[in-house]
Amino acid sequence: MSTWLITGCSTGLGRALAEAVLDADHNAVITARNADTLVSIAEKYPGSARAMPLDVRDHGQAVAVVQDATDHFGGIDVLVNNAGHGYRSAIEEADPAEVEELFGTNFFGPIDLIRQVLPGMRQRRSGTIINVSSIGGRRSSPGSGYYSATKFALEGASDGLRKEVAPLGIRVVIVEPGAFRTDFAGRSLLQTAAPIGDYAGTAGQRRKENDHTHGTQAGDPARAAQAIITIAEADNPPLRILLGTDALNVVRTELEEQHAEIDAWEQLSRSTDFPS
Amino acid sequence: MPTWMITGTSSGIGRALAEQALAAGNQVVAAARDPRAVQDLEETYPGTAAAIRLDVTDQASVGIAVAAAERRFGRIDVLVNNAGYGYTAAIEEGEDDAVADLFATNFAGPVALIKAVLPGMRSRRSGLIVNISSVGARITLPGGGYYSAAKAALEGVSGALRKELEPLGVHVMVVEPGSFRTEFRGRSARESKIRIHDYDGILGRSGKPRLGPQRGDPVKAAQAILIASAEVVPPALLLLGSDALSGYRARVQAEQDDIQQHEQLTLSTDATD
Repeated sequence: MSTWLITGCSTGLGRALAEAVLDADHNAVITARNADTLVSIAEKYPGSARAMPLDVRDHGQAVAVVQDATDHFGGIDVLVNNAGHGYRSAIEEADPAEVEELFGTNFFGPIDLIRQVLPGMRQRRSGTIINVSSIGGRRSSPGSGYYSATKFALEGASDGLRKEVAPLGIRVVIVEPGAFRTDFAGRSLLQTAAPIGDYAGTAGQRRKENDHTHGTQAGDPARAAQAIITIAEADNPPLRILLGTDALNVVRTELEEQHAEIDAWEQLSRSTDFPS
Repeated sequence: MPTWMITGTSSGIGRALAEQALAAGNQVVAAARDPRAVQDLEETYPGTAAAIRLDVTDQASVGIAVAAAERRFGRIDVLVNNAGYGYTAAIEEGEDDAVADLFATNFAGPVALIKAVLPGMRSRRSGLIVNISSVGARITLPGGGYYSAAKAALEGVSGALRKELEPLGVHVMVVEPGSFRTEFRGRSARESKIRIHDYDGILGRSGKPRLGPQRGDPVKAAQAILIASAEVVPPALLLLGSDALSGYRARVQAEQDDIQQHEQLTLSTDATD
């Protein structure tokens, strides 16, 4: 039985995970910007669930939530950085303030929480940090370049972090879901207010008014939640785990294409060493 | 001849690229925080070199520099986002201000420049954006997490950008140099003042540093970038250095092994309806 701290639990993957973790008899501090959305879950598990408000960009709230979890349950065994959202915009179309907010939620917030839970995990020489990324963290598509940037960043930081804390008994896993039937492409999705005509055929096709994937995605959040629990309990979890057939296909294609290009340019790549 | 705008030209790969591009007959706007560092290029190449002050973290400076470059040479055909530096810190040791500065220079600055040059490139349906990343974007050592994050973020933007610009005749190339003999490890390097003892051994702080001289020649890096840039469609990703190549291949192999090993779990999450 372990203690979990999960962000972004009001809907989607986070909500499914909160329910699955509590159903499996673990303790869980479940959080969302609006904690009212969590009352119905918390009521079902009065002994093991604590619902708390948390906007991951709010440092004070992050500190308070981790402190509360520690006071109440003795320490956090598993942190799941799940809260996040998308942003549809061609690179040139974006509002810098909106990009800053996106990084605050999808990257700097998760990093802040990681820094808050690590002292306890280091002290116990044990713990698991799960960062929810996306296939967007492996391949960047027109219209979602900034979203990919936040996920690429999260993955880069996670890779370094994993090597830093593995000798201390702490595991780090990046979860990369493909398209799941959540609010991602609905309520949660933000987009630029200033589209540029030249991008209508690329980024424009992925604007909310043109993208009709909401509600029809192939991925099942409840199954994703089970997979995440399985990974958290594994003896030797991998650094990255894809979730979904679509994710698998996208990444395989991406790796193959990139590999072929690297091979094609090998001569030029090797040409830059000083003579040995 | 094309006009290049290159940032971070006071030393290293940026400097070498400015010199090589000028020697090849290009017009070059050599940008640096202190343009006196590149004043000599204007003297050696009086008609084709322009030294310009640019702090990529200052939005006003970005706008002024691009406008000045376009006024001087009429257009910018190639933008090279090269200015950048490293920051060593365990993730837990990251300093908010230092990380913000790192992202401002290595990510937000390059993006601001891209946005500034794009209207011109789109109007001409022609251009090339070269983003200098690093093998560190995908191969991360302990202490390198924030640097990797900032470089990886730039690569994330680059991938979408390339696909958005393809129909508009503008190309995007990411360059990942391995270890090169520049100021990267020297004058340019920054590190966190926060030291958590648990990480001393892991970050190699408990003994004498064992790094030998870097294998990469910045002049050859510059030449390789010029060659790749001359292609009708430059590669999406260009590695520089045999260390970059072997590191990349090792990582791809490890990724493919991980995917294979956990395929069952990956496929378990599709809805069954």
